[in-house]
Amino acid sequence: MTRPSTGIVGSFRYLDTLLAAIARLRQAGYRDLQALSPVPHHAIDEALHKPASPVRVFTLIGCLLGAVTGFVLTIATSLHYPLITSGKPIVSIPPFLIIVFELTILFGGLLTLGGMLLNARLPQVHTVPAYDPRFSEDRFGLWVRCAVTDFDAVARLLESAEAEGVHRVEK
Amino acid sequence: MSELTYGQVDRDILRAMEAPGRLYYIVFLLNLLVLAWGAFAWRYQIVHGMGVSGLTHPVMWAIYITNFVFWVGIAHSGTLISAILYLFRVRWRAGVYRTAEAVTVFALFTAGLFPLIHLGRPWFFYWLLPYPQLGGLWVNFRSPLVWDVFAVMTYMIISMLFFFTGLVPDVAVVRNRTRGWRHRLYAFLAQGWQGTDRQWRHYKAAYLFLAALATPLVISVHSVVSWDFAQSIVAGWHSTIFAPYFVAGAIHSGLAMVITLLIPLRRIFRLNAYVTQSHLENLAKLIILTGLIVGYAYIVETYIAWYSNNVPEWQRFTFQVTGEYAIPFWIMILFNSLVPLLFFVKRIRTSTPWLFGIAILINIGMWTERFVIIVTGLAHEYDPYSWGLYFPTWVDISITLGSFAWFFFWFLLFAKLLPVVSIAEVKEELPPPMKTVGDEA
Amino acid sequence: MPERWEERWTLPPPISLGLIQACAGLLFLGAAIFLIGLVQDPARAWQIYLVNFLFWGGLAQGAVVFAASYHVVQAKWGPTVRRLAEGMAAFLPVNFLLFIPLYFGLRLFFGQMHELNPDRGAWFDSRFIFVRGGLGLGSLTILSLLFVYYSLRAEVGVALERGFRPRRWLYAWLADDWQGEQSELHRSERGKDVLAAGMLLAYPIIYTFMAFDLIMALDPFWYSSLFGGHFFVSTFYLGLAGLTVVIALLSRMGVPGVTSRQLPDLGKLLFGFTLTYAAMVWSQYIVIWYGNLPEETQFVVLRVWERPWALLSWTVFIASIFLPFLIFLSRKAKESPGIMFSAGVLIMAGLWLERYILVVPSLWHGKGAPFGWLELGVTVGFLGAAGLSYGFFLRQFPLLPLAGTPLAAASNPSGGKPLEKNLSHV
Repeated sequence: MTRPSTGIVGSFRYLDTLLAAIARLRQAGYRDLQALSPVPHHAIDEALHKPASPVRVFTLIGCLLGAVTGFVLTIATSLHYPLITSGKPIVSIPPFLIIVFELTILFGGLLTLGGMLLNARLPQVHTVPAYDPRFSEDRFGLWVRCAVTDFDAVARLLESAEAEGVHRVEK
Repeated sequence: MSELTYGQVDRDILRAMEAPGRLYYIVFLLNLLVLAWGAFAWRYQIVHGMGVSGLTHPVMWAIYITNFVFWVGIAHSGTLISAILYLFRVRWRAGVYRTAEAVTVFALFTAGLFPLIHLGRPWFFYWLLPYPQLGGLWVNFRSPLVWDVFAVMTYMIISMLFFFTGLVPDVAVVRNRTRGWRHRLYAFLAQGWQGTDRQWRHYKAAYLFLAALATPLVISVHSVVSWDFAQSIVAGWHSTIFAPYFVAGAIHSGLAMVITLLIPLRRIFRLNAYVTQSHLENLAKLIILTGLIVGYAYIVETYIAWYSNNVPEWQRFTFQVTGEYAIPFWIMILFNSLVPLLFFVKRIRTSTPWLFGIAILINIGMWTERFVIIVTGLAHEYDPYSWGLYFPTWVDISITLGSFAWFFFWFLLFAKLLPVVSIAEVKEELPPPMKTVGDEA
Repeated sequence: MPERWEERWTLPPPISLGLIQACAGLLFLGAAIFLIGLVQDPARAWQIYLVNFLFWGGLAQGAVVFAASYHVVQAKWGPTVRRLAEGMAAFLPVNFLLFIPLYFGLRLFFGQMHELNPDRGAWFDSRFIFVRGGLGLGSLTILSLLFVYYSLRAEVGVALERGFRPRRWLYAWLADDWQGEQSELHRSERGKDVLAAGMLLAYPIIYTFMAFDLIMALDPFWYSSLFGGHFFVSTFYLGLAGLTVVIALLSRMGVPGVTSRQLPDLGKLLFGFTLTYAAMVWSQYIVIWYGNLPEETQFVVLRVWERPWALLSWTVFIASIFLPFLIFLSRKAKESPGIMFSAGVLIMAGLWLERYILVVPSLWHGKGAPFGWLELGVTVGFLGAAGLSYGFFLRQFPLLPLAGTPLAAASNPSGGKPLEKNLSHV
């Protein structure tokens, strides 16, 4: 079943009215919801029942990759052209651990950013049709994807939850 | 801060980004002149060689490395405020974190110049990076200088990532309100941010993990910088306490720099509701803590210098206290560990002029501390025949002033082009608008 | 959890009388074994006495310093944690008394100092060390006890004022000259402010010099400027670990007022200190390794490369740093009382071994690592003494601040803001 590209946007002035709307819509069976807000709030995430972010996996992989790269880089290059400096062993682990540590953090950070961009679908060239600049300022938005036939039902639900404005997106 | 609404926050912070007045342009221009003079001095040094600077035997590391360590240190408090205080859920950080993080990024831009400046042949700077080369020669990973390259480079990249990630939601607000070239610039920076729950969820996760990564990073970076000195066996440098001592000192000087910049910023942009008296007071309290740690390090270093029974160590210590560089030494002791104790007095730490004045003194004191450690260590090593002194030349001083101008160049741009207070985070700290105000405290 | 405040004072104490008696028994057993060991091999007896003195005293002091820090930052996430931490101050006077016989051990340790290192001989005269060690320890003990006094006085006084019975002699003494709830609460807060700040200033300095005098000086030539810092950080880490063990245990036992909700926060703090402690150890190691100066390396080489000490060093690393690091990465682990209990015990064992390996190789000139019934006995004896004093405290004072008092309101973790951000991420 393809995702409908039409839907209704409700804008809310207050957080609890938004949460109430989400609850009612979910109860009525409309689960394809996206909330737009100027700030994140854990209550919104809880109400929407979306899974936790997998970005932490990217971080872990990045850190492991960095650690391995650190060891390989330092040890392989030392063995490639063995030069004794300061009387230290060719493969001297203590200083190499510092390089390993830094690369662990570097790769971990880079992959964390990559994970965020990937998962959040940024940079986003096509804006969500529901977006209104006020949703970055002081209003909350709720984008309900549904078929045109459901528009009235959804609009009624939104208004019953005290939405400030209801806007239909038909395209 | 509880009377603020989301809309008010937008208006207040964006007002600071309106077209600048004449004063701004004058300051910017003067700054540019100093920067140009510093660039000229560097060019002069490249053309005529390192001899035009004061660096010579035995003090081959002096003012340039002092500047390097100083600026890396300044960078630390930004990460402390943005990352470490975030992990501890300290709420007051929201108003000051953006400026602090900007200080970090620009301080690292500045610090990164100095390893290049003090290279005899700066056009070969890329030899510091490990790349496969025809002769099969690689960088010496056993050297603390290479650890420096990796640590500072990692720190710069991660700080920039952290800074720009945090900017994205704010820049989206700015994007919505601008037109023309500004709108295109901010639209590009905002990457299409719309504040959907999905974007926020991944953003929060990434932010948390970047903060969690940045915290051990920041401790390690100044530890690595301190090991540039401690790994040697120069008397007075080879001391195990250097790593935590330098980290505490870095945070100390960084906090002072943040206060120095925040006070004029809040005055000029009328941001008193966001950068409040209590924010500044909290920064002052942190300075008490870091000042005490620095003072502890001074006491322990003195004790160990005596305890170790090491003749070169002890004579270097007495040289510090009574020799040619005694005045900088006592400035260091006074400004870094004793002056900050004034912040124990509530009246002083809540008075803006006192805060500003003491912060300036700490900045001077911390710069002097690096100078004293580096120069006295090299001036009085093991062999009395090779003892010597260091005096900066016009080239040294010009480049130092130019580096400050470089920092302020970026900071002035930041002040006008980006929101200096984090809009999204301030909004997060406010209670969300609720219809039923029933259970609000 | 009892809502009526009177009930909190009539709850059965979490520590039974039987446990107290067992601790007393262990104490006597330990003392007897120590005395026998003293006759047979005084050097060996005194070195293990020193190790245990540093460990158990540090455990108690670290916990009390945590309570002081909790007060200074005005934390609110764990009022029972604060009380349990304050309770460890009960061992501090006992620890001070145990320092006094150590004088004879010091005579043995520093007997040869004049010949080995004539320049520093006067500083390391055992009488001088004893006096300055005693002064430092004594002042810190007094500061700690005063801090706990102010904390307890407020609550006991309010309880007595509201007509709570029974009156014990201890309560009457604590609330002596009670001026009325308002002014007394204010006075207590001011007292705690000053004393907590004083403790946080005194503790690093005093413990630094304790480390310099009682551990570092045992080797006549070695020095490390970070050693003092290492010791007071590891002691704080030890205090946190001990506190975690107590809380995990009590919450498992179902003691009212102790919830496992505080464990994740403690776990995060512990994680931070695992890393800080590791940084302290590493900062010394890398500098000494790189400089390669014999006067510095001989201390480290003895402990990290030579048998039998090398095995013990690696055990310390694994128990106090490596395994805790892995454990505390997981959020689920921090929420489980069972895992936190084990992690805490692991860290404590590792840190005991760390003090052993710092002290003993400098003093022991025999073969192998001395570990027999003498070591076990003395350790058990100190455990008994610590358990006895801590148990006594827990039997006298309630774990929760009085409900309905400003104290309770101030330390209520969910102080009236339902939409506060969720504090349980990570």
